Amino acid sequence: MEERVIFNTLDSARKMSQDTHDFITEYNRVAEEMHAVIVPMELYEHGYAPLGAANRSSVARMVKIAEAIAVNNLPIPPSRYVEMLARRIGGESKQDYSSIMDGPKGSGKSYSSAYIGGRFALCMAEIYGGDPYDYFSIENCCLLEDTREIVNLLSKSKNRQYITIDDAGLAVGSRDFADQKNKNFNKIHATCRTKRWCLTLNAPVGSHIDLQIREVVTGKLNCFGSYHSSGFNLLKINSSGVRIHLNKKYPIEKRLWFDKKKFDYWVAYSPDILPPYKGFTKEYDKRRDSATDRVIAAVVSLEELKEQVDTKRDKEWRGIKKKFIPLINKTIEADGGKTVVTHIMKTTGLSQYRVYQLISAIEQGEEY
Amino acid sequence: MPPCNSHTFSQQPFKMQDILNGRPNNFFVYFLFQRWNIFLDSDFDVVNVDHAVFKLLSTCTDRQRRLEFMKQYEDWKKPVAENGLGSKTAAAIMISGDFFGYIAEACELIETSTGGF
Repeated sequence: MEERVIFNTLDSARKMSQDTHDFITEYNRVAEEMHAVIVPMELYEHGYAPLGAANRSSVARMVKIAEAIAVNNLPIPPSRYVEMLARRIGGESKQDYSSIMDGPKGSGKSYSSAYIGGRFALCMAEIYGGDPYDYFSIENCCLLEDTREIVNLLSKSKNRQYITIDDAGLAVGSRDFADQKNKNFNKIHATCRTKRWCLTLNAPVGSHIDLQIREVVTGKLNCFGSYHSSGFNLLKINSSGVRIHLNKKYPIEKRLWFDKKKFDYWVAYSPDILPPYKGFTKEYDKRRDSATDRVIAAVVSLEELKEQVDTKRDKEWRGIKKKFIPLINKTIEADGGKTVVTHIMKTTGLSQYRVYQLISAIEQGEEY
Repeated sequence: MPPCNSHTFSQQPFKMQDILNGRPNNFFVYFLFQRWNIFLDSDFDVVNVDHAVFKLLSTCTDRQRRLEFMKQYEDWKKPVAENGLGSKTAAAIMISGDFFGYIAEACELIETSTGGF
């Protein structure tokens, strides 16, 4: 079986060889005869597929086209989104790109972002030269890492690379918004522009990521359809920004727009479909499994440490016991061995709740 | 627009591309054809066609034009009802060229979807 052709840019697709053109035309001819789905030539000429009325059937049409391309070994059409990323990162104006990808657990966010990374690397290599691995490799994937590891990875990353941070809620979660680690990450995130990285943060829900990061990202991706058996996912991609009016912030999200056409759906195959990244998912899964074990071990040791640590409340409770238990014992003795709570409250000046706590501690024989 | 009538429609295999060739947003018409193809082969049902047409016209972004199309469709549908719902004659009228003339016009105003890779 011949290796699949991948068009990284619109120009290369327009200049496709006669053999490739004939291959697609022949497929469409046979498909028409068999009443199968036709792969529109617009995909190769303009980078989009017209899907008809904006209703649910358009999703089904997109899925059929993506399946036809995957199953029949047809060339992968050029991606307007990836080409936009490459020209933005590699262009003269000093810009970066950061985005958040959300979607239900197991919907394929990691593979989709890796596919985009792979295509980005191929596109960069074609336009600006070099090897695809100069722009994206498995070393650019942060898997369930904490902020320290991410900062380490970012410090090692070269300029103009695609970096994906999986489960970003772990490193820069919105619950830890005031933590030093989040502040550090925000500082690193601010350097993205100078380093000209293309950064993707994955999380099941976008709001799990720190607000400051959410506000400054350029794109929002949503993994809304999983077709794992066919080897692809459907994404929705919006540009993202914040408009400030009268001291109020209004988030703005718009569909991406190329050639006066709003793009509703995007297909993201498995990264294995790209020849330089064959076997990527296997290696990725291996690393992810070891990362999961590492996270579980870290959480367990943290919990153990928490049990060993003497908290402020423990110290306070020990002090109360030391001070008041001898006094309570004396009062009980004075009352002829009877426990009169009101009397104890008067002599100790403690609340009823605290007295009952101390009596319980005496009965259980707690040390003080 | 290429000829489109009951005769064209009854040809087997159905030459979809001959009819839709060069037409923008031809998926709408494709969708309608698919529906009718089924109806003609089995039981033709005006109610279902109605549903298909309204689904199509309801996505028209220009409200004024949408109302015009709806009215035009209702006027045009009267003879269909006179011929009796479910008859082959009704089907023949529904797929006449006139009807597709304005459906094609409506299509250009309908919001469409686009997909990328």
